[in-house]
Amino acid sequence: MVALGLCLPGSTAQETTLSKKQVRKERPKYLQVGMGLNRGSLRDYATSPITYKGVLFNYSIGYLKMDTAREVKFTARFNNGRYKYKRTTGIQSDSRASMYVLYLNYYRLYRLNKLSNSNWYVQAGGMFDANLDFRINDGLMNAGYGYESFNTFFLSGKVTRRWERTETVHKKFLFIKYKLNPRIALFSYQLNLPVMHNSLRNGFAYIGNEGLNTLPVFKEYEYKTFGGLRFCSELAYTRQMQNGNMWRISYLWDAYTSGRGYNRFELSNHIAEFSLLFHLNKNTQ
Amino acid sequence: MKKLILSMLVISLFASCEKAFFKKNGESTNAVENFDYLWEQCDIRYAYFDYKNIDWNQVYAQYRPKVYEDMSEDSLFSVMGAMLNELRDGHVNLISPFNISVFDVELLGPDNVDDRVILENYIGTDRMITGPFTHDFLRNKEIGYIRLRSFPGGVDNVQLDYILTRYKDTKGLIFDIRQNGGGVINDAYNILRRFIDKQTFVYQSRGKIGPGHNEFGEPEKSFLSPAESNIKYLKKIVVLTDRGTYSSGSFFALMAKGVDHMMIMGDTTGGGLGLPNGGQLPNGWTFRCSITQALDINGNNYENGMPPDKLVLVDKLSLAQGIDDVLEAAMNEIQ
Repeated sequence: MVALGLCLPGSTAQETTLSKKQVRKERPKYLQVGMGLNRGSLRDYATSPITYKGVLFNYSIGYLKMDTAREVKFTARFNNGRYKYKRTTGIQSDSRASMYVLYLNYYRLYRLNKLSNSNWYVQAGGMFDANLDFRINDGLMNAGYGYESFNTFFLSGKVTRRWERTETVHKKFLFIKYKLNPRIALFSYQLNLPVMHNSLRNGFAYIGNEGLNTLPVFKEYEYKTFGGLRFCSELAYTRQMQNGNMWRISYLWDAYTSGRGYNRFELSNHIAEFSLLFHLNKNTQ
Repeated sequence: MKKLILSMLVISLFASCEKAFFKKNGESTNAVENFDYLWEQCDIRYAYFDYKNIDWNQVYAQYRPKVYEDMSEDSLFSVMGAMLNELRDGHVNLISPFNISVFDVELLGPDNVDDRVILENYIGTDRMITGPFTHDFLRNKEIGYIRLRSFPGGVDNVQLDYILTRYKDTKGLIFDIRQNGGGVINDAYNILRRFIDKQTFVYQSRGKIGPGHNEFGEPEKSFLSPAESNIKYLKKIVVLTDRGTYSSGSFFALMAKGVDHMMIMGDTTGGGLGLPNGGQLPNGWTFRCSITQALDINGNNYENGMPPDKLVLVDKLSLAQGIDDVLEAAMNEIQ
């Protein structure tokens, strides 16, 4: 019970008596491992005006340092699966695009004390997300392989509602007795707004001018420092278990475009994820 | 705090709706929309309008009146396929679940080869078949003859080592790519690397960089490096071509033109030097069209066909007598 209270996010009583170095050292650290499904859509105007849709598998692993004062997280996320288009009117046809995407994400959030209290806290900070995708759609022949990279700097805001039960509560419903163990639950929403969204995309000639003496990867690609839009958010419910570890259910939304032009690119992710957060520094607290 | 919750909920609802900044799905089975989309994609991407002197607006004016909203799919396909064939390009196709439009390049000229004549009267039934190569000695083992009907993507060092070792003592090679419709370009590179002993400038290419018919990037020079294997053939090589020599076949001939000890003989090639880029229509059909230009080392564009160094056509009477005039001329050239 005592141990639980010490390591929970939100335990600020200790911080006031500790040096900054000790606070940093004792800030709870977690290894987050998550899995889920991603209902996404994809459109690459360079090859097709049709929006492909599909369900992709989502895997993530992250390193999180978190208390009520500060939250820092690095996440590597991998999605793979197939986007599909199926024509149902007239003579039927379908197309499939296999998709592999790697996202690398880092954010830092700081508590805004004026907007926060013991139950609610508001954080603000920044986030950087870099991704690289690779697609295969055999129906597009020479243009069947596609890959591009998007990198975005965000301004981030997060609101968290915190519930804490410090003692075991015994209850009874009709003739059934049950008990509610001590727990902490967090319900949070994080919204990220783009400050700089850049893209590395195919040039006009999608397949590139294949010479013999140049590296074909990213050949004739165009880099746009400012181009397109991107928004993402995360709605999460987190519960701490008695052993100090946590589980989390989250819904992540991420949508981005490459901006105007003949080769405009659009992609959206709606990810439902379940993750476990393993407390890494229980013994230091 | 309630206001804060409310505002976050509103933002969440808004944020989850990417439709706010995504364009609407372009899927459509409307005949006019699909025709217009195909015409526009070719208009901005096709690389040979000016070279072939094609008035694409005139083509639109000719075919657009044939399209109406409730027309059947095969009728729409016929109109669109016919429109694409105005580009006179074997690398331009429309592909649907029920049909594929093709411009038959080989019909631009007569076949300049008869494989039965070669088999019966030159290499015989005891010829060797090594991978995609059919080959044998000619004229008392003084000449090696290699026939390659396509570039299948499987040419490897074992095959090339065997063949070039077998013919190392000949006076010259005849490399016959008549009616070779193309395939995997890497095969062409791998073969040619055995025919050079120093880095050689073989072709240059340029791609579209914008929607204008003449918006191309700077030509990029391509240099072919010799193979690492010591088994090479650096004596005279005569490459035989005809109008059916297309795509990677044409590319092979174009590159061979840049190699000093190789000469091209036979008929003009079919072209197909542009790399075809694939795309999809709003109704799900796919298409492709050439989006780059390949030029020879002097900057000449041979998309309409590269003329041989020496024009030799087969004579039907000769063929009837079992004589391949092109092959005879090639053998005489070497001897």
